[in-house]
Amino acid sequence: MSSPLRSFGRPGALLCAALVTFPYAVQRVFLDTPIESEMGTAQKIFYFHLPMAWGLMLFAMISGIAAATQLSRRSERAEDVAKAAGEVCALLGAGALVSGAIWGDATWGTPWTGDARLVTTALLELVFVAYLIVAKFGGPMAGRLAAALAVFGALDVPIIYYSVKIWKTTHPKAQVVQSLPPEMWASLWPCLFAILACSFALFEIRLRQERLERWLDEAWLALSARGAGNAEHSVPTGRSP
Amino acid sequence: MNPTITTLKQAPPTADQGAAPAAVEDGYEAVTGLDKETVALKRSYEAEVEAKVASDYSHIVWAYGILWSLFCGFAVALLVRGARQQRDLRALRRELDARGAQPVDRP
Repeated sequence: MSSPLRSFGRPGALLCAALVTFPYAVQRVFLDTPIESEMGTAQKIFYFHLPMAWGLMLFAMISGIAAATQLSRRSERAEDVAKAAGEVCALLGAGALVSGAIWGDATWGTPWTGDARLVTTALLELVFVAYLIVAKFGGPMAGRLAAALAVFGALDVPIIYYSVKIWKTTHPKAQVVQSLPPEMWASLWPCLFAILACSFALFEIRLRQERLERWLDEAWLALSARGAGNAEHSVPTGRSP
Repeated sequence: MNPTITTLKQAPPTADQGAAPAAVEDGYEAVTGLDKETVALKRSYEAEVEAKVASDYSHIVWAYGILWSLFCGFAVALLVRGARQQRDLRALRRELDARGAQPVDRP
């Protein structure tokens, strides 16, 4: 029998790392990082807003690639990955959009502008929310439509990245991040690590749940078929995929 | 420096200051301080900065609070879903035991 600690596995280790890093990151942001001269204290929202935005794009790409694999190879494993990544993507997208709106309200005086970066990010969030709704409530035949939505969402990621280069935007350009002083980078790294560690832990937990859900469905179906006298179905006795 | 901001040196003398020359008389030096307009100006700057800092703190509390709440909400949803799956798994085992089938390995 496996020990309770071992059963947590990699997600448990990632969550523990994130739990240790979060307080350190917050302490660094508020006590060890200088206040930005133009935006003042409100700029400290940036240290978690940026990692969430990066995580949003990363998980959108993971979900999109997995959905494309699902479409091309009819892979159930890829479908599970796409769904799990899609949920984390929606979570990070909500975080990035809300924190961005609050930061914008503090520095621009308005939570929302018709800015290309904001609009494309909101579009990505809406696409993945739609993907999750279709995947969950669309019935058994909606899997491929949902996967197409996830692929569409992933195509939006490069548009988000280049939006500040192509169009004139209120949102800061990508070069702002590169020009950060070393003390701000020193605070950004732990925040980035904490957000990504937590996100990957939640992703893996969700992925395991998705696989268990599929395994349970198959087991119940096989059991009911056996009860009906159908000898072709057998209860899966191995470990879940 | 912002040219529209009136500094202490640029501030026009008040009626009191105009009447009292800041010179040494009888061995005593006249007491000079901030005139009322400069004091009012400084107070307004301080109030402005204070309002900005308070606004920033309020925004930070909301931003961080919502971010943590989102993660906590997602974690709770995962826990609830995990608990439901465990109940489902136990029900499956009971069903198999009742039918005398080969027990299911723990997934």
